[in-house]
Amino acid sequence: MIGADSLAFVTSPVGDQAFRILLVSIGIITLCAVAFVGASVVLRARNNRIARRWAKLEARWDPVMLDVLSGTAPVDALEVLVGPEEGRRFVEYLMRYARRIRGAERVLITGLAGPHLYLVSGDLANGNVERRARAAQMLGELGPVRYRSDLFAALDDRAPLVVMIAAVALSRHYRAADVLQLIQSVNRLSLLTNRMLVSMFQRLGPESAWAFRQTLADRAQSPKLRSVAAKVLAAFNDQDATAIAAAVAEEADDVDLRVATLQVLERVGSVEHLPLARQLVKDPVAAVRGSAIKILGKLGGEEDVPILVDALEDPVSWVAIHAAEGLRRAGRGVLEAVAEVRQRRSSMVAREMLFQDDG
Amino acid sequence: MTIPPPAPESRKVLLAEDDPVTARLVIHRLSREPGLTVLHAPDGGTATTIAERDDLAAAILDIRLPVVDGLTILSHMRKDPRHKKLPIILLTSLGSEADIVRGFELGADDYIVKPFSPQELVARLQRLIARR
Repeated sequence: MIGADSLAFVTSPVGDQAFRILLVSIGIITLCAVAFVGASVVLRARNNRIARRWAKLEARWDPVMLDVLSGTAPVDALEVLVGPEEGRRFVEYLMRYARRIRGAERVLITGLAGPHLYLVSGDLANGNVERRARAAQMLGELGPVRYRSDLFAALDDRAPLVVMIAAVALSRHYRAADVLQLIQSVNRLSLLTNRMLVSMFQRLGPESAWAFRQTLADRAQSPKLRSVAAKVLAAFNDQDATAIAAAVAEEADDVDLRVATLQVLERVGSVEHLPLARQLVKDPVAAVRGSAIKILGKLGGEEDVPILVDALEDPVSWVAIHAAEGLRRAGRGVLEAVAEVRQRRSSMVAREMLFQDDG
Repeated sequence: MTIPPPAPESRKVLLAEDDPVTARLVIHRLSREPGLTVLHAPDGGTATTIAERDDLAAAILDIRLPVVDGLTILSHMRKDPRHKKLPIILLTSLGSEADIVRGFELGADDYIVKPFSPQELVARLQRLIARR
């Protein structure tokens, strides 16, 4: 029930004004809602119209495309069906096949795309990141050799996505002279993990190892890139990288970089690297100690057995496990002797290792 | 009077492939081969039904398929006496060596890694059919 005070407010000039503001607000909200619905309908209709247009184009291209790929129709038969305004769309259409085909048929596709790729290369300067990324992808897939310089320019793009796509494309179709530039241009790809970068660079093959050695030795490069270079060299089992790796392991401050260089020595090092490993088993960083222990376990001789036995007492369990693995290589006798000594942590690790062997 | 040669009996090839573009490419290429008819299954369930229902001359199975994967279909087919010696090619992705090994263990005759050349696929298939 409305009280006398409320009735007085509604009929007063202040209440009248508030009522008007309320009406105007409702009117504005209603108009906005109508405009929003209208815009959605118009956009939807526009998108449908475009989709219908592309579907029609593809329906025109597809039968001829399949004939061209199977060799029953000449390439010209498809080229004449592409209108002057349809080049970019045609490249998009070709991408669908390019990614699923290799061999002679793929050569046909890249040949068909060639005359239209200039339309795509223009997109590398587009303000929209997705459009630039798509352009880098299409050029990398359909014209990596001809548009190599554009792809290299894309390595300087402000968007990591574009840089990554360009780098992957270039790593697939690189020239020996470009390797160093390619490696160092992805220096700022902070979004990519080391593992992803290593995997990408491994595609370049061992013939590119010189560039990774140079990058590892270059103090001007970031520790991240140098660690990646070391990991790639380890994956390549690059014997020529050991001297650089040993020098970097000794002088670098970055933990990841030191561990990565020790991985190189663990893979392809020799007895000449044992003094360095012996020195690093006392390092305050567990990851460095662990890597040094692994080198000693793999390459060390009888004089390293006491060091490995001491390392069984390492406060970090996996360092102790690496030591036990190294001792296992030296023979069961040592592990059995350690296991005999009760009340010590090392005997537990040794027993665990012997148990694994017996299992 | 010359007697026309008998029309070659149509041999059915099962293609289990969920990607429509790849399927279209393979179907188009195989349909040009005289005497071959392609039975396309876009998923593993349909492929199993076709394999149980039809007498096949060969099968091309994508390993990654919806509903039932290609390796399971292969395993079922090899248990069927009709398909014990059927030429079967697996379609696999780059880097899936474990699948390839498993495929051979289950009795696949050959495999082809995606992306592939449809021409090469057909050549391999024809060679296997001819050997049968």
